[in-house]
Amino acid sequence: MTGEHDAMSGSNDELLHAYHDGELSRLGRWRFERTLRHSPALQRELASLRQMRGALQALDGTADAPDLWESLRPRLAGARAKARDGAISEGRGRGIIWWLAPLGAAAATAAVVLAVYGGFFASSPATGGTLRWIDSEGRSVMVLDDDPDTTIIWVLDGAMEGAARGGRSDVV
Amino acid sequence: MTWYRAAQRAAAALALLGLCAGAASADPQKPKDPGKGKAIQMRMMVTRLSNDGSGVDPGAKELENKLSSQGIRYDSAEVLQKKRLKLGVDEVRTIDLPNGRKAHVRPLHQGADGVLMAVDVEGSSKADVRAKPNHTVIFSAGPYQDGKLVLSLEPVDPE
Repeated sequence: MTGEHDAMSGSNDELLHAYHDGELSRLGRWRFERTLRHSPALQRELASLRQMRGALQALDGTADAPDLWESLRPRLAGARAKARDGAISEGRGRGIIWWLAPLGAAAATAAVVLAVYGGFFASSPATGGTLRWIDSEGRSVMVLDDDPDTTIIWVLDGAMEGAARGGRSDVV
Repeated sequence: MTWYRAAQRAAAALALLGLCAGAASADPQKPKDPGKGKAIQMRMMVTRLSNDGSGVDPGAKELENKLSSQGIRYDSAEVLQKKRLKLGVDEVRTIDLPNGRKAHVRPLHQGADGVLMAVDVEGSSKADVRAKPNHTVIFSAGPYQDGKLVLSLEPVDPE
C-alpha cells in the first residue's frame, strides 16, 4: 500500500484531482484515463474522491437551511428594475434641471429687475412723490399718497382730530 | 525699419495729443449737476382748517379737494400765508406758523425725479420727502384756534 502510494507521483495526484473536477482538456483527460486504467491506486483514489463528493452532495441536500433563492430572485429582479427606473428618472430629472437652469436664472433675473426697477424706482414717477423717512415722535400719523399729485402727512391731534374727520374720536 | 518706427512714434504722439485735447475740451462741456447752484423754487401755503362754517377760500379750494378726496373733511379753509420760496440745496428756510410753531424746510437734492427735501414741523413731524414739480406735499402743523393748521409745499418746475 505504501509502495503503491509512493508510486503515485505528485503530478498524478494533481492530475487525479483535476480529472475529478473536470478541469482537464480532452487530450489530458485521454492521457490520464490511459494512466488510470493501469493504476489501481489511482482508481481507488478516484473512487474515494467520488464517494466524498457524493457524501457532500447528500449532506447539502439534507441541510435544514431553507433555500431562499427562489424567494430572493423576484425581489432582486424588482430591485434591479427599481434601480434602473431610478437611474432613468434621475437622468430625466437631470435633463429637466438642465433645461430649467437657464430658465430659472432668467426668471430670477427678471424678478430682481422688476423688483428693483418696477417696485422701487418706478414708485416715484407713478406717484410724483416719495416719502423716504418720517418721525412723528410717537404721535399717530397717517401718510396718504393715493392721489398721484399729493402726499399727505397727517399727524392726528388727539380726540378733536377724530371728531373733525367724522370718525370715532378714540380711533386713529 | 527706421521710418516705420518713426511713423509709429508719430502716430502715438498724435493719439496722445488727441486724447489730451479731447479731455480738455470735454471738461468745460460737462453738464453740471442740476441740483448744485441752482435755486429751487417751491410754493408754500399755510392754511387753517376748521368746521366753523366760514367756508373755503378760493385759494384753498384745491387743497380742500385734495384733503377731502383722502377722507379729511373740514367745511372751512382759510389761507393764512402763501408765498414762493427760493432755496439753494442745503439751505434751511424757517416758516413761522400762526400757532407759534416753526417749520423748517431744507432741500437736500434736486434732480430729474424731483426735489428731495427735509421738512421739520415742530411739535408735529419730521420727514424726508421727494416730490416732483407740481406735486403737493401737505403736512399737518398742529392745532390752531378751533381748527388745524396745514403746511403745503409744492416744488415748481425749474423751467
